[in-house]
Amino acid sequence: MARVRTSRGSAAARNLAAVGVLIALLVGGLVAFYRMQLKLEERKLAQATVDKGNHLVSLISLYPFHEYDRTEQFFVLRTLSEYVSREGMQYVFVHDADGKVAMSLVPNSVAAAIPNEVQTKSLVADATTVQTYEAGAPPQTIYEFAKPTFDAGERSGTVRLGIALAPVPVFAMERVSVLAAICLVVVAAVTIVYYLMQAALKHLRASVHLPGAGPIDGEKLGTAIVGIGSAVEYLDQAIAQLKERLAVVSKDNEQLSSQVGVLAFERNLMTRILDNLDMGVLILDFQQRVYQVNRYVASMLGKTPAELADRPLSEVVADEAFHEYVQRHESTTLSRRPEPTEVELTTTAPGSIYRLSIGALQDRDGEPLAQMVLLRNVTDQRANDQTKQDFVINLAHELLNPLTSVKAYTEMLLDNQVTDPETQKEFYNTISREVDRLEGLVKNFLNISKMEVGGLTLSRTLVRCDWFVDDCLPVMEKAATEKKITVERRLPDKYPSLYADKELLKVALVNVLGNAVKYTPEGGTVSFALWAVDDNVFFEVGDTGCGISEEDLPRIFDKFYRSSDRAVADHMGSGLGLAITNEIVRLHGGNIDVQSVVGEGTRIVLKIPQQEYYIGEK
Amino acid sequence: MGKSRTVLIIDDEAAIVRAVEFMLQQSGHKVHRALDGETGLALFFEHAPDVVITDLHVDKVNGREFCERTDRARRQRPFLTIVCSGSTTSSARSWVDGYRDTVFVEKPFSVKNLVAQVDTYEPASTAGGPEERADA
Repeated sequence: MARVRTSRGSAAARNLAAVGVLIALLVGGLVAFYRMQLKLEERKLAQATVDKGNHLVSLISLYPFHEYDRTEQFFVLRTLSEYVSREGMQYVFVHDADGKVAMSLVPNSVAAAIPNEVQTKSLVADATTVQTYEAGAPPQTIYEFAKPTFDAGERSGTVRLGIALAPVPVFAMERVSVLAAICLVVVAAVTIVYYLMQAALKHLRASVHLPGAGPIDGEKLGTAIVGIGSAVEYLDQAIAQLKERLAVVSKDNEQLSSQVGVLAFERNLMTRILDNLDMGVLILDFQQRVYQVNRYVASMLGKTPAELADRPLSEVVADEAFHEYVQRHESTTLSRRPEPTEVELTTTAPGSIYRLSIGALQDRDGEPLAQMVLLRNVTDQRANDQTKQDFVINLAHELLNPLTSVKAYTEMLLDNQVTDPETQKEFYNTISREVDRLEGLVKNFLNISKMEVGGLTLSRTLVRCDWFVDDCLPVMEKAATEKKITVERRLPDKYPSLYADKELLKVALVNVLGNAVKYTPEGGTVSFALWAVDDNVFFEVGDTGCGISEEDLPRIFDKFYRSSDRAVADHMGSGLGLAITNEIVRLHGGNIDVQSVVGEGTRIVLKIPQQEYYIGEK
Repeated sequence: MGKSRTVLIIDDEAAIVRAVEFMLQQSGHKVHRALDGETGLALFFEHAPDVVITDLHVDKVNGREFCERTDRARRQRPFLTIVCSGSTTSSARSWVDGYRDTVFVEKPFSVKNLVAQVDTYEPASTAGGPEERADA
């Protein structure tokens, strides 16, 4: 408010100054006008004097003064003096042919003031001349008229007449009257303009309700400052208030555009977040039209989000199961969120299982605005669930087979069904072997648990490969013999040594050997070879089994992975063996090479770096 | 000891086959053995066994397929099929209800009880419905 008052004060000062300037201009104009009138009158008077002088000098020159005697001359001069002096005549000289003064009518003081050059020019001029000069105090303009006189064609003399220019009165009644009339007209015009402006401003005042300014009292204004200044001040005030209002509106606009910018940013941010979600988001209005979809959904449907927006849901998603779910939960609210469902979108994404959930988007008052459908692809999750379920079944089967054997042989021995010592020994050996097998399975399971938490670590010792091979092969050879599988060995004359975790390495190799026997049909061949090259020891296991398909090959080291291949699926297995083998070899810094041809067999080579070993090293 | 039967054992677990074979032989039964389903089927049609003991998960022709492929033969000549498996889910074992004279035995089983089932099995004189199945 203080700023406004200051603005109003300065506006009043400006208005006062403007009024002053206007008045000054008005007075100046009137003075200039008056002076112009004065000059014009002076010019008219001068012209009248010239005309009068010319006329008088011509008139005087008609008299034949040289023929007059002294008395006649005196009489003429007296007559002239009586009649012409009223016309402002200052002097009359009549010169003879020689330029001498024949007669004159002039006061001595005036004659002395006549400049010589004026007199000379008048006397030598051949025609009527008019000269002016200033004389007297105060200075007065004198017009000298000179006319030569002629007698019988000869110059007989010169008549010189001096007439003073009559002064023009400054305050002549006529001019003052004109000036007064002009002033009256100006005042009348200003008054009319003022009232016209007041009338016009009434509408302006009525249309502009300026907050805080209060109504402008026109009557008071009119009495305080009558004239344009008031209107100008009012206008200035109104403009100031308008400016103030404009500033407020401009500030509001800035805030609004800032809010619009923030909203646009937030919308873009939300869109980017939605687009980066690893799930589909589909927002529907209550006419079942698509309001927005994220990139995931658009990609699923092979379109861009813009192409899907504002289209009926029925045109966007073709799957009945999807529509059925959405329609069933059409009146969903936040407080009553329906259970998600899992469906296969057979048309949109064949072979994929999606978990659908639906929720209502509500405003602050809880009024529903739209529905949001979320789609999460759970195909892999379900496959993993199935894999884990299969794993449990397979593991149980794997454990139950040796348990069945142990139980059967123990039962027979306890019941004294076996009397033959050799058979008894065979059965005890079988029990021992099956227990070893159980131990191996349990270790595999424990190892995989350690792998899960990253706790599978090596306990390296010096491993002599001849001893190591003698420890591993019999496990496989016994099973091979039972399946009438031929075992071929290709072993070096000189065995290398390794600095490795013997127990884990045995698990790795036995897993590979076990698979070779397991997947090789009766009468087939399993080969084992060992060699060392470039500080690496290679264990090669080959078989003439069913082989591994190209589809399965990249996944054989995945935990729990079991091939869907019939030749593999018929054999129960945990799906852990090769995963554990791979991890053990990796921990030793080695790698596994697998080559396989379906129907012909598989060749797996474990490459283990020998590593330096120092005596005394643990 | 009952009547001597011809028994076919199909299992890729050699130790189990050996134990069951031993006990069956002790009981006076004649035993044929196969390590995979395909060999088992060939032996089945060759020897027409009275009892078939098969693992559910066996190579090439699994236990369920074996039952399917021998179902026609069962209508002409009754025989007992014992399907062994570690699977305990009802879906994994309920399918046997669709086959006459077919029972499910859960691993680990008692060899003595298994042999007792073989000993006590009496094939029906004529072909009948599922109610004539042997009880496990």
